[in-house]
Amino acid sequence: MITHILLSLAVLAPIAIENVKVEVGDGTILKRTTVVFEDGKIIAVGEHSADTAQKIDGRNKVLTPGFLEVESQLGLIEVDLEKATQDFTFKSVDGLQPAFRAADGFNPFSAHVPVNREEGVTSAIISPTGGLISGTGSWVPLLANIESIPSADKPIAMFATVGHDAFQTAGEARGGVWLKLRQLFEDVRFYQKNQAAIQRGQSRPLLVSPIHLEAMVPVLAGKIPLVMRVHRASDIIAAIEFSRREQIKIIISGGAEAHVVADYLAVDRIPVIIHQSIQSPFAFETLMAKDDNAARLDRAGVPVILSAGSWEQENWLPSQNIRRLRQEVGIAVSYGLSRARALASITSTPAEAFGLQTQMGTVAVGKRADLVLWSGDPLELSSVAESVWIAGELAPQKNRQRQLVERYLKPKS
Amino acid sequence: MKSVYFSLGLCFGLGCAHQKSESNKTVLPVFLQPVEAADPAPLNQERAVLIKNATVMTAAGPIHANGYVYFEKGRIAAVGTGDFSQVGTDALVVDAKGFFVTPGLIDTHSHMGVYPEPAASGNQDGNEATAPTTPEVWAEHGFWPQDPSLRRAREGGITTIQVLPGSANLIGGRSFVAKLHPTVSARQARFIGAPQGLKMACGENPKRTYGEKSGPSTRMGNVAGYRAAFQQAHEYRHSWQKYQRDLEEWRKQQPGPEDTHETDEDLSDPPEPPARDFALETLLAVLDGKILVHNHCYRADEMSLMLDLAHEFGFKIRSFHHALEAYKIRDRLRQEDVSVSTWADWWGFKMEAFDGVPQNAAMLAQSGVRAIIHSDHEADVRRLNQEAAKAVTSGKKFGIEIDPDTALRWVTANPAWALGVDQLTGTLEVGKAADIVIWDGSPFSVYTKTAKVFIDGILEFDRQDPNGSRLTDFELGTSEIQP
Repeated sequence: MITHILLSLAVLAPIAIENVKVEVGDGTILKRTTVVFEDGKIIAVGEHSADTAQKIDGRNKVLTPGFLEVESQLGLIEVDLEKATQDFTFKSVDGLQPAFRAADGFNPFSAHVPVNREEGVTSAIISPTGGLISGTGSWVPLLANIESIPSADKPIAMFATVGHDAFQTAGEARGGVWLKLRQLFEDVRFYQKNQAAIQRGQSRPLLVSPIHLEAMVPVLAGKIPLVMRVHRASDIIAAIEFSRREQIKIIISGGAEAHVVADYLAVDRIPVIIHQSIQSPFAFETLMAKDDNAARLDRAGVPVILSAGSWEQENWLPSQNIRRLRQEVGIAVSYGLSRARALASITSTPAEAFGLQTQMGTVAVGKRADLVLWSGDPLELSSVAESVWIAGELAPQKNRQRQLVERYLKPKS
Repeated sequence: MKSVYFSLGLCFGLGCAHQKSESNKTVLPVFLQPVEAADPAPLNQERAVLIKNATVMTAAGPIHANGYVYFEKGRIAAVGTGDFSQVGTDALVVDAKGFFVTPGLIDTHSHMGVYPEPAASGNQDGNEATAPTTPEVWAEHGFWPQDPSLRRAREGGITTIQVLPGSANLIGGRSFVAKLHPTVSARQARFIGAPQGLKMACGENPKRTYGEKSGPSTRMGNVAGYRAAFQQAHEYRHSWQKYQRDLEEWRKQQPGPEDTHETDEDLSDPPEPPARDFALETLLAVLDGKILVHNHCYRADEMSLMLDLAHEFGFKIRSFHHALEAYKIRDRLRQEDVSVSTWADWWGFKMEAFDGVPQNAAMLAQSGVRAIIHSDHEADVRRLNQEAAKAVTSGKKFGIEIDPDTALRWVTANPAWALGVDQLTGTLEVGKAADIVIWDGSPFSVYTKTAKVFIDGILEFDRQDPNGSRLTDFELGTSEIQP
């Protein structure tokens, strides 16, 4: 893939944002701070003023890390109901397609990319949906260029749907889902021990072909997490037990009833991805949904990640609106999530859960210069993202929606 | 079976039972009064309530920084700034210092009750998707009052909703306007005095639903379907008008009451009335302006077509719903006096939504069109105030300044107009229903929640009170861990 040719970024001159309030992303706040970034990275955070070519007055403004959306189909769908633009689901009978890679379908020039960037979302994890094991997801910056196409053979996570949406591929029962998962993991272990025999065709029957078993190896090795999309409290317990037995890293996504089993999740420090605005009994697996789910999980010590995307058939949140992310966080705060920790749920916490913490998630020296300068409180609906930098590049404000508005705002000639 | 038909005249709205039929209107048989409450409505709270020291946003212009609202017997009796002295002795006084007070929010587009939570196959009652034109079905006949989303909407400050049939059909049936009291029947939930609506749908949904079946399979077929239906309505009207004339003629020929000695043989049979058609009866009420048209329609070109169609057949469209391209034709929408019910930011999920912009509401408001923020969703309905706030900020990005009273009207006074209840609710003005929300901060802040919600003067939600919210029957034993 082209990204392997390593197109080197143009060297960007240093930029200093001075006297700005910084919400670092880990819960701390720095007042009247200067943040300097150069060549795509943050090189200084402190009180001093910098001697740089470009200075930006940050007074009365707030600087945050760019937001990370972890459950989106950004660039995998352009128009939801147009099949020609859908690349997020591998439709198969058995629902097991771990070798399916979201990255292979990613279109960095999707009109959704610059639209969502306008509200401070600077990167996303693109994820497949459907079936039982949906495939691998990748991290992408919202840069709208060829360089942002991720390397498909370095996925960031494996995605699985363990709740009701997977039933049709697993005998239409909860037990069927876990039975198939156990079989799959058994096959992966068998595959690891008997690769040569399998290549020679001397093998017992396998659930899926070797390419899929191979794709599962990083999950079993604990190198990438298995994101388990699941809501019901009892299903979450089953997922925790499964992760212990198989000794894998898991992340719960959805988790409408996660608050019921918060203490169990906290013991293993299993992160939970919450879709705050749809905490409701929209499905039989979410009957105990509560608005203060995120707050309760956070208090119990569970790493909480908020998302504006969703995967449920009953409550699809299309990826063209992951710009709602900051509102999701604001709503969680209104239901008791600590304001100081709220921003972490879309910056440092997801970065850590997906192994990106050395590169992003906080405003700190050495991190990617994914930064957003806000006119006020970044969670408040009246605030606007005045400037968005992705890897140190100022993202152009032009996008499809703005172009439409400009066309129709023009006075008639 | 002959004489019971004609005494009532055409009556689809409450309080018009004695209305004289005008010459251009049609006398129709009416067996039941469609919009009168049959089950008893919730009792008005007898105790008067004074909310004082609050920021009172009236949605009628004034914002009282240190204001009060006083209501009794379900109606607003006084609104103003400072102290209100004429408080009844047993009145409940709510000191709301630091709080905001607004009219109850109104959602013009809801499928709560007909597409309830949870998404159970046994409860999908919003689309009679067996034929593309079904004006004979009524949303209230599919309404499940135990839908938990109704409770959650109420707790979000919604006091009035329009429950619409879905958008699978060209003409999907009658809507009804409901107050969000906890109720056990649709008839009890009815907003007394509100006209019914007619749900119509443009574009992709009817095509998708019927393209592989009976059709229509194109937008051409869609328009042909609307035209055929309204033409039939006109012909139905003619058949009743002819019957009315024949009947009057027959009556004139009848002997007077003093001629009691006449024998039966002297009496001719009265003319036979046309067969009653419930579908066309609905459309006839639309032609007569008794039922308000709510038209799901995204694209500017299709809204233009629908306005042409309305002129051709002589009816009015009260509100375009979703209407993501309304900003392209806002001058025409203002001229035609059509309101626009839209979202703050949803777009792009299908082709006809691809040109949606978050500035839609602000651009419409700037051009003098009645803009409305609607939900069409059980999650967004809980935070309609926040959706309005986002639409304001989107406008601000392009220099369109929307003042707070205007923004509040997007979710109160304007939807009240669209539903034909603007004389009854939607603002904090004397005489209107005491549909009132107390917020713990500015209603346009993401951090704000409702504190108390009054509907018709009844405290239906109180966040402070552990028992301040009545769970729906469905939630009992399902939403909490049982000890």
